[in-house]
Amino acid sequence: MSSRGRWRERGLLLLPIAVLLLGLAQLALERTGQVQVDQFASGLIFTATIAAIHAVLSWRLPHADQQVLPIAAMLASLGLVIITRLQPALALRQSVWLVVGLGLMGAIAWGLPSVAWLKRYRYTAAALGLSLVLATFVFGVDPNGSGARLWLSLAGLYVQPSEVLKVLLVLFFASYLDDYQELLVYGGTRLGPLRLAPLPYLAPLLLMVAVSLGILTWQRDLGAALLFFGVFLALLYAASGRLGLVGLGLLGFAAAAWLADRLFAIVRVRIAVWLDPWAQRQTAGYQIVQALFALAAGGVSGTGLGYGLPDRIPAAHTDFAIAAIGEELGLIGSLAVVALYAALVHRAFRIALATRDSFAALLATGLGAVVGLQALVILAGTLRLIPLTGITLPLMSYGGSSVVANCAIVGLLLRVSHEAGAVAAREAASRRASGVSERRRTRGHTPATTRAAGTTASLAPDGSAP
Amino acid sequence: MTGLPGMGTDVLILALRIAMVVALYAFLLALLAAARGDLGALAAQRPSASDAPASTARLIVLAAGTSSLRPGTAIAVGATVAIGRAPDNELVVDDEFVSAHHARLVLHAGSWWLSDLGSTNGTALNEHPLRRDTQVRFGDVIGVGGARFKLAPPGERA
Amino acid sequence: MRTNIARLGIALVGAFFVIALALTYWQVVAAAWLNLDPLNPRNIEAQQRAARGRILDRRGQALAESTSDGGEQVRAYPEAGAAPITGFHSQRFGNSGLEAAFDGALRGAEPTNLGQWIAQRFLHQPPRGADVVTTIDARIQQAAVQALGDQPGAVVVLDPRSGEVLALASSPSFDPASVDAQFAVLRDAPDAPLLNRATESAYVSGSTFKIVTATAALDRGLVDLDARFTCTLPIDLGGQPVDCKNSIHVPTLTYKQAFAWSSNRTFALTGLLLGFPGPINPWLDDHPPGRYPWTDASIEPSAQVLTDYARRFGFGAAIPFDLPVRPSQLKDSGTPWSVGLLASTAFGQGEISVTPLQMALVTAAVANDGRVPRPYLVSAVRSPDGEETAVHQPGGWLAEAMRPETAHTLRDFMVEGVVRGYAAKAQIEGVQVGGKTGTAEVGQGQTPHAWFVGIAPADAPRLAIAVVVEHGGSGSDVATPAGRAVLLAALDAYPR
Repeated sequence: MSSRGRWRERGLLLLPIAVLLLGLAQLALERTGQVQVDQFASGLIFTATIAAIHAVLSWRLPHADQQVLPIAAMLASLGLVIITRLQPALALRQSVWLVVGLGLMGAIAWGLPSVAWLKRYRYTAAALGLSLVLATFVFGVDPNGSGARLWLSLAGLYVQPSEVLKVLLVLFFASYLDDYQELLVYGGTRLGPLRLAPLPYLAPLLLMVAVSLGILTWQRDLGAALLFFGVFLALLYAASGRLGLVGLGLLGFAAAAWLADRLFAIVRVRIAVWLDPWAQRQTAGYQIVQALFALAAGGVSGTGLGYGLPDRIPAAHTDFAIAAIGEELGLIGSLAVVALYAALVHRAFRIALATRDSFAALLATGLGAVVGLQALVILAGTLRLIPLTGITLPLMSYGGSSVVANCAIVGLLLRVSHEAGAVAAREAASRRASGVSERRRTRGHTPATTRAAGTTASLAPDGSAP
Repeated sequence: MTGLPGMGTDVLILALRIAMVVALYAFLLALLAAARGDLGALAAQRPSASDAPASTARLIVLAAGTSSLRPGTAIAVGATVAIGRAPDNELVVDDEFVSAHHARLVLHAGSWWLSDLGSTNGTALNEHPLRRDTQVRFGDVIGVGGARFKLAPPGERA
Repeated sequence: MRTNIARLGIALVGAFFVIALALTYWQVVAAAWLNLDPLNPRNIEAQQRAARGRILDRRGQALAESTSDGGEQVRAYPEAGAAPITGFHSQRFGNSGLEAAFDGALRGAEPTNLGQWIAQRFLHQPPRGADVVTTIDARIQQAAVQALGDQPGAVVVLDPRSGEVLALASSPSFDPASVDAQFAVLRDAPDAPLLNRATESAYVSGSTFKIVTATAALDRGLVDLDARFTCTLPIDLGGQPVDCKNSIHVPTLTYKQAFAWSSNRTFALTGLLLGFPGPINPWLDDHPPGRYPWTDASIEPSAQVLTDYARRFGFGAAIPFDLPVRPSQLKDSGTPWSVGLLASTAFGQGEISVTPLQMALVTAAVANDGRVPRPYLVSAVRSPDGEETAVHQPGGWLAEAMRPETAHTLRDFMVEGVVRGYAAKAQIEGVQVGGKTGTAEVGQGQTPHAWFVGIAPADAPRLAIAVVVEHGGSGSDVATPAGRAVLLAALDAYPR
């Protein structure tokens, strides 16, 4: 991680741009037999915005991890290619949303006072998120006809508040768990060999979890509910290390799922389709069956961009982007996408491990978990590992709020990474400044003992000294 | 697809397709290479107890005994920690079985040492009575009176 | 906490690994059966895109071909009369005829070399089907269709030396191009236009079956060809009245004349006498030398002989052919042989059910020195790059039905039938034609089926024909002229 110019990032960023331009060129040739500039509009916007954000990062966040943005850019670029393939009219809109998202990323890089500042506004953040979601109760619209009114309409643009909520909730969870971290680990009354969770202190946290899950479930936004609960459990584990708590949470989830199966027809339908989609291949199972056909048709090398039939999958450009990629780019393409998400999660967790600040660590963990779990839930649903839920593939699927929210996540990760990197750079510099004597000591010796030694009183280690 | 392109364009499209996949996988390999490089740098950067400027360790309250301490709280401590009931101690424990100056925890030459200061009821280290100055490592539990404290690294969770 | 975070991270990345495994399963392992699923829209589309091969007649004329209509494939049938041969090709209703039997080759599903494989998989060249080359001659087919006209029935023309089918007509027929629009109508129509009457309909054969009876008698040397007998009186055979009406104007007959004039009594008696020692001529007379042999002995041996010869011609089994053929039967399997049944079977009634193709084979055996040729419709499959794969291996007979001498004798009989017998309407100037008519009774009040089978030119036959006109009436008045017309065209179109 060199802080002298983000050259690695610059080099890596060339490849997502190349992929996008090559993909757009392919599609242009297939459609019209020639390459025209207006077919590259989204590509040019993308390139320009990426260049701009790279410049902002080089200036304001020089120590930030240099791989996160390229990975996100590659995912977004593949997303643009597949959206151009499936619904060309939407590609330009997606690239505009990417501009907004990257702009927000820039704002986080530039304008955010510090990561710690976020901690102060956790209640505000949570309240804002919840009120937005609550607004869909009253003002909610359903532009895709999917049955759940999860969107708000603002001047012709559709915003999905649950996407905003997910970032704000991660913020809330991370800061809360940070404050009560020791309590979680060591506190709570003992009941023989067991140790219960210190419930009174966790009440606000649990209340927040219950309220958000309740709202989402009421809204039938079960994918988001699953995601939020998963992130909550992940952060709980990260902060406390207590698998028992996590197990308790999973039991609760199982009970809730059973209840949901009883109460909600849509849950019953989804589970039935998951278990045997072929029985309902023309009705409820049509989507998943077509997605599986698409994946099978791709084989290893794919049918080639534009030559498959991914447009037979309903909502291919949103929930089922992986099936479209799998069909046209083959297994090599879809495995690359999985590798990219794994890499993004890996970078987020690296950032979390590299920072000293516990809040920042939990924040980075939560953000990595939210992106990772979101991708996992939709991928697993498409591949029939779990029932399908309606959430989008982060950065790849079409959807403005999703893109903006995920760009914000990337921005926050970069911010955390930069602050940790800045601290490390300062310390390295101060270590270098404190003299040559440091170098004579082998690794593992602590130079601080020179200071500590002066304060110890007459302590003569007896024979038991090491 | 209406109007399939001619043979020449087909070859060009195939070339673009191959190039796209090559770019994608070159990216993944570059990530892999960068990740390997980072591993070494990250290991070297691991913060150790000595790098912390102000707080060199934390004592985490496991049990309060009859004192007014709250279990679960972490107390940042410097290079010397005097433990006892008297208010001039760095760590004040008002448990009834704790002497005024009960014990002392000292950072010396990179290691922590615990010594009993002649207390009435003795000091415990991992539930064993402390007979002489003993080195304490992170994770060990110090007992004075009814209170228990765990020594933990600074800024980190044990 | 760091360890927890690290563990969580490893768990998440591990979960992605599971996803990768699942992807591999669905895209590679499950693909094997998912790609074949008929409801997979890609299969339907692929069929559309593939340039389906043509069905050609022996001279390269297209009987069925696909034309591109703005990206979509449309199947056209320039020779609508060849519908029973080509069948139809429909996305919704499937295929029939050769479209079905050779669907794989026509679709061109499998690439045969690496270049084709790359072109199909990576350059997206649509697969091109192979052409199916038939033995049909479109001109003869046309003649056959015209000869039938509006009358329901069938015509089969083949080369007895090789078994190549030169024409296969069935009436009423249908326009294969209209199947998509008209399927339900065609399927439910009372006159069954989708039925291939040449191969799938069985009729009572009428007197044409006498060829089989005569074969049995001649081949076993039971007949004295020169001895004359009288045939004027009707007799009762096991409850079955049999007369000499056809031959009553020829007071004394040779066996040849009995054949040419389709004398029922003669052949009924022949059938009954097949199991007894010859010569049978005395018994054929109005006044036999004594009690008929079967009054004291069983007719089983005779029935056995007739059955045996019928089997040699192909009766009782499915004839190997490029299209499905209904087996012809000598009698219903449940019925025991009786004098009356054997008698009526021997002259061409009884419970005989025979397909026109079967009768053509019987006739062809006579023309081919007694060897029953193996009939075939498709000679080769021609791949898009010109490679021809022979489908039919020449040579090989289904059976040897009789000795060559017997065949020659029968040929003479058939020529007699045309020159001086009931098949006179088959005469063609300058060509020796052999033939046999049949008027198959089908029950009270119903018009009999009209049959004609023939060979031409009789001295060196290269054509064998069978014609049946359902409920056409008299074989010599209805079927024979039709047969003549077809033979005329065929002799012209098929000169060697």
